[in-house]
Amino acid sequence: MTRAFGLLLLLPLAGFALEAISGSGEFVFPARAWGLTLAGAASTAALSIAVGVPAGWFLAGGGPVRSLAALPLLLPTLLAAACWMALGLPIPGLFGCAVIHGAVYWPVVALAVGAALARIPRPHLDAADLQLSRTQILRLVVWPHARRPLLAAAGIVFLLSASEFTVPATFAVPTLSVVIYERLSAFQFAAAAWAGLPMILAALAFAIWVRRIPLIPKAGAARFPRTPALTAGAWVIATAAWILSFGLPVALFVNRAGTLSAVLSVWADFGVSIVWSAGVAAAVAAILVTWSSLSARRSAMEPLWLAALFLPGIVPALGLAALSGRLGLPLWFMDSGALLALALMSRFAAVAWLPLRDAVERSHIEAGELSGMSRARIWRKIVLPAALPKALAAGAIVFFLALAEIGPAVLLSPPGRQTVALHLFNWMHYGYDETVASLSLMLVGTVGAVWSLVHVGCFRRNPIAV
Amino acid sequence: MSGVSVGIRSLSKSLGGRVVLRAIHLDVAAGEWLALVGPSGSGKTTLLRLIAGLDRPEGGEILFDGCDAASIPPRHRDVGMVFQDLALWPYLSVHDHLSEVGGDAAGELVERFGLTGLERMRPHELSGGEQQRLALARAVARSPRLLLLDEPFSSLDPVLRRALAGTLRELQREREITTIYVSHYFETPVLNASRVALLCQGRIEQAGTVAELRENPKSEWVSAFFADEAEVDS
Repeated sequence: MTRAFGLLLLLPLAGFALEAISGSGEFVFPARAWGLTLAGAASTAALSIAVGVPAGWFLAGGGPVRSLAALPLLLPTLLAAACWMALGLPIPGLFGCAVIHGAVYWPVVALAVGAALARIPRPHLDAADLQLSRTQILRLVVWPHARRPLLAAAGIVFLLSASEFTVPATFAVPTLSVVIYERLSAFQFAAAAWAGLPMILAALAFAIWVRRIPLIPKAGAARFPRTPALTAGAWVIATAAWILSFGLPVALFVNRAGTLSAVLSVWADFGVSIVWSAGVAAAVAAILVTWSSLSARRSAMEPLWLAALFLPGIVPALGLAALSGRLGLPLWFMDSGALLALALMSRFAAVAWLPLRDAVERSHIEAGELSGMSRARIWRKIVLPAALPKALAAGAIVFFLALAEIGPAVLLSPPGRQTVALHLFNWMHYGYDETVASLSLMLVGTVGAVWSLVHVGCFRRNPIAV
Repeated sequence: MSGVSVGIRSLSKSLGGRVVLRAIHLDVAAGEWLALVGPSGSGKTTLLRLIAGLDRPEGGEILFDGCDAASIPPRHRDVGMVFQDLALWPYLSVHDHLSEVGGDAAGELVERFGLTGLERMRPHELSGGEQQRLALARAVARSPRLLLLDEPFSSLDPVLRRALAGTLRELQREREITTIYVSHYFETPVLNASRVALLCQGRIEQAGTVAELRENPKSEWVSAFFADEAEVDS
């Protein structure tokens, strides 16, 4: 059952591939779009490394700041773009988009580097301290531990930036995801699919490599000793990055949104849309978390689910739209929001799956099986209590990602039922005003709630551990 | 209910491209206490997991009372097992562990395994010895016909080890449970076993009583293992 659902989540990608093979429209290689995409993504990755490495050094010390670092990462790129507009800066080109992406994605590098440094066994460092210089320690002990997580994090940032749709679409920079959307709008399905197919292969290859590298910091005190001077420098960079990428946008939105009653009034105007979006996002989160916790073991399909996370959101949307057209699905089904929910589930399956697949020790489940407990009882008595904190955190993150996602919403929102993020995205094309600020504040508030659940689920030490 | 006889025929298994078990042949009589001894990486745990049905063999078969057990899922094999890492359920109390598995027998098990007064505690609140006792109590809670013990006393001090081994032996004799005890050295439960099977690089090197193995080693490895591993609990 869980395997069948896992296969269902791959339908959108299968539809995309099918469209590339047999869809309408001619194949024209979008060389310029590829060039812009690669250059922009490389710039974002470089910026994230420049900020994330010192911030990671600082985060290796542990403490509550580690979870605070996740806040900018939760901020949707849409809000980072709104912040750019709020500052009254000129319309950004390719590298402006890279700066916006970097402001959102630097915590990926910081958290990965921080986790890697915190995991260096203290005896290794003690032994090195006795016999090696500081440079040798960095080269021989620290770097080998940090190298792979750093590369993995940089790769993740590169792919996330390359596949990002909202920022380049807002500022009319013709990157690959924008070109795919434009071709789709012109009903050149095959051309759109071909444009993105190499990205699917790259994302898949990367997903296979990256899934074994631990990126989420382990709870508990870090053991990594740091020199005060370097740590002070790292603190300055981390704090500045955090203020610029999270504190500043929030302050700008609060300033522009006006009084509380004005903010509430805007929210009321979009009430139906907010409720509709939240309902879809909650359904997506609940289904994915339940599915992941029921499976609770590794799967050969993991790289495919992970690859979907690194692809433009319009890729699964396009695949699903084309597939439903081929299958001749009834109109009421297309209008029900089920397609949108499936595209969102396909895109964010890995976010729910990866934290939950190892939430329970395999031997605990095996002990239950040998004790004659039924599957339902094992899930209720053994899996659920152990997985609950991570399930809450994963569910909250999926909920928010689904709420703020633009790509699938652009293509698959039923008539008259736009998501709130899509409203915000459309509204931003008219400029930055009180409505944009108020809707942004609503998403920021959701970020806060999500962060609280993530904090409980991922960063706090689990008191119950044998 | 008495124990089950176990027959292992040409059992093979590879893990990660490495052959762990090579055409193993072994018979364990109903109610017998067999010790499976071998160095780390010799395939002891893998063999236990195959017998329990937690993993599938690549070749060969496992017979329970002469019948192929391949189609019997783990929960219906009537097997109790103490895992190397104990695999206690972190969110269940001592009482819940035993009542979930043994139902009404929980109270008796608590008393028998010296867990009185600890019923409401959860595993992380217990000492190492108490955790071991709980794992043992859970393994026998359903009155299994086959008990698999994967180095269950490895982290205990000698006094506690002897006490627990005594409790276990008493229970095994009383209920005639077939028991396979895995260890990587010659400790008291191994020396008390009716037979010992020595496992080396995925093969049963020799099986017999301790005296037979000591007096008539079939290979240099067996005699060397005895020479190196003449350690006995005292």
